[in-house]
Amino acid sequence: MRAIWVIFVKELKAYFLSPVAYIVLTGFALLSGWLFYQLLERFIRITTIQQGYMVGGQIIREWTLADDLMIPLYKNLSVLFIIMIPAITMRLFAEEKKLKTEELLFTSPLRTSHILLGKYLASVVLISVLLIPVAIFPALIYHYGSQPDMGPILGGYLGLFLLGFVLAAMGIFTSSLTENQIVAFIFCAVLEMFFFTIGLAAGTVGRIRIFSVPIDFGRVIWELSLYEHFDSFTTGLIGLSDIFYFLSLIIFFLFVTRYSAASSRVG
Amino acid sequence: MIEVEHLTKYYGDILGVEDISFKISKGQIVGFLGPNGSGKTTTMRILTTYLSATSGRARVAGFDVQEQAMEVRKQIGYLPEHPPLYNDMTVQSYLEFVARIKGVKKAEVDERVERAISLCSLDEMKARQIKKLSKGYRQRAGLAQALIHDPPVLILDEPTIGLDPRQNAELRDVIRGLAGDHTIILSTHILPEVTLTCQRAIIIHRGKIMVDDSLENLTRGKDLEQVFLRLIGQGPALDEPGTEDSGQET
Repeated sequence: MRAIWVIFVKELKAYFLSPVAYIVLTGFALLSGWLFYQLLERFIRITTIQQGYMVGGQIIREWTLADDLMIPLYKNLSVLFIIMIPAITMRLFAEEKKLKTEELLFTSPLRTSHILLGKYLASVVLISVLLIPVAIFPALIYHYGSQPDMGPILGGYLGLFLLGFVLAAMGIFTSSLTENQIVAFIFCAVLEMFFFTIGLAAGTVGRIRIFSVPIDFGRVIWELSLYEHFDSFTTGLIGLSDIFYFLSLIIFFLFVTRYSAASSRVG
Repeated sequence: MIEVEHLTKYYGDILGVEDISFKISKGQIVGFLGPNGSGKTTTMRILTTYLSATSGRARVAGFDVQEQAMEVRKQIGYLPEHPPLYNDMTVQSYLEFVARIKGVKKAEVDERVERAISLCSLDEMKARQIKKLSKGYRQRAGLAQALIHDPPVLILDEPTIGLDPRQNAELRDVIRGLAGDHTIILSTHILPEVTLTCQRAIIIHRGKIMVDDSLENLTRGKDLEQVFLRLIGQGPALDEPGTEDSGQET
């Protein structure tokens, strides 16, 4: 526990000793404010024109603050994450390799898993700090909106945290593969986008047979998709399977990082 | 204090070290001598548990480097070839961090850091950022890092590389001052280094130990340089023609 704490403190300090934390925090706060403002303008515009979504002169769904303002905001922020998170995580192991400080860490009485957890938790805390200012938007909606449905609004906000933690686990993994931070950044972004978009294929593949067992492959792909699971948070129902999905991705990527971080030494 | 038995290390097909064995007793300063690429760093990395050996055994202070790595790590202070420094930290905060990861108790950290700073004459530089240090001070910060938890065994990989003669002499004094309480292995390809600091030299060439003897015996009636060059096949008293690769830089 002491080891995790010492590494955690060191990493968190490192974020604030370099410009990384300041750029990411201010950048994210400004961009999220800007996106919220634009989406609010749009919401006001569409509500003054008509009551809801119309098909053939019939309103089939009324505009709501949740569906037409907050959830689009969260989805935009999730796209920002694809860039912001690798910027946060890319240095975690790559920098140690580059500076050769890896040799210090791995010859100190520390477990690799403790080093890894200390680093991961530092990025988790920074991501949480990143998301705190975003809470102002649901608060505004709650205060000024007319009986908004808070379920999806809070669910989506919670989903952003979990999404960020999953992407950070992918980021720490790609950082452990290289000493070049740019390579770590790009690889992480590609990996994230793969998990985001894999669900698009769900509708086009059908059942396949593996050893004569029929498997609904489309369903498998759908279940693997980050986007689909994030989306289900914005229904306001927090499903156990969604939480389980996010946790298992985190554990999976931390587990493989545990080995890839140590692999340069096996030689 | 250090026992190495039939240690072999291959990197894939490439030989690191082959079948090396030696023993170092407590309080000795031993020079690891060899041309670049001869296996010095490999041996040190195995002893510090950074790399694992392909076969053979090594024990440090009675602990096996493979099976009791955590115990071994507590016994060792290690200065790698590139001092493992965090550029954004100050010397003081860096040493505090290293003390903590080496398992020094929180209450003792300040005292240990002070001691390491004064041992390595870093007083004037302790508030300075590491990236602003000169090469000589970087090397000293690296040594201070290795000493911080007062380990019984010190493993120093080319501690004086890239230093000017004055810095070199100062660092040598520091290292000599540590003898007695500490068992020290230092590697170098600069021969006078060994004559000035060590009591015993182990000469490695192409992953094998060529000579392991006290410095008195090695230099009796002759120059260490001659001994060294003859052993690695480049000296004047050549029995067989010297082979093409490695050892050119010495």
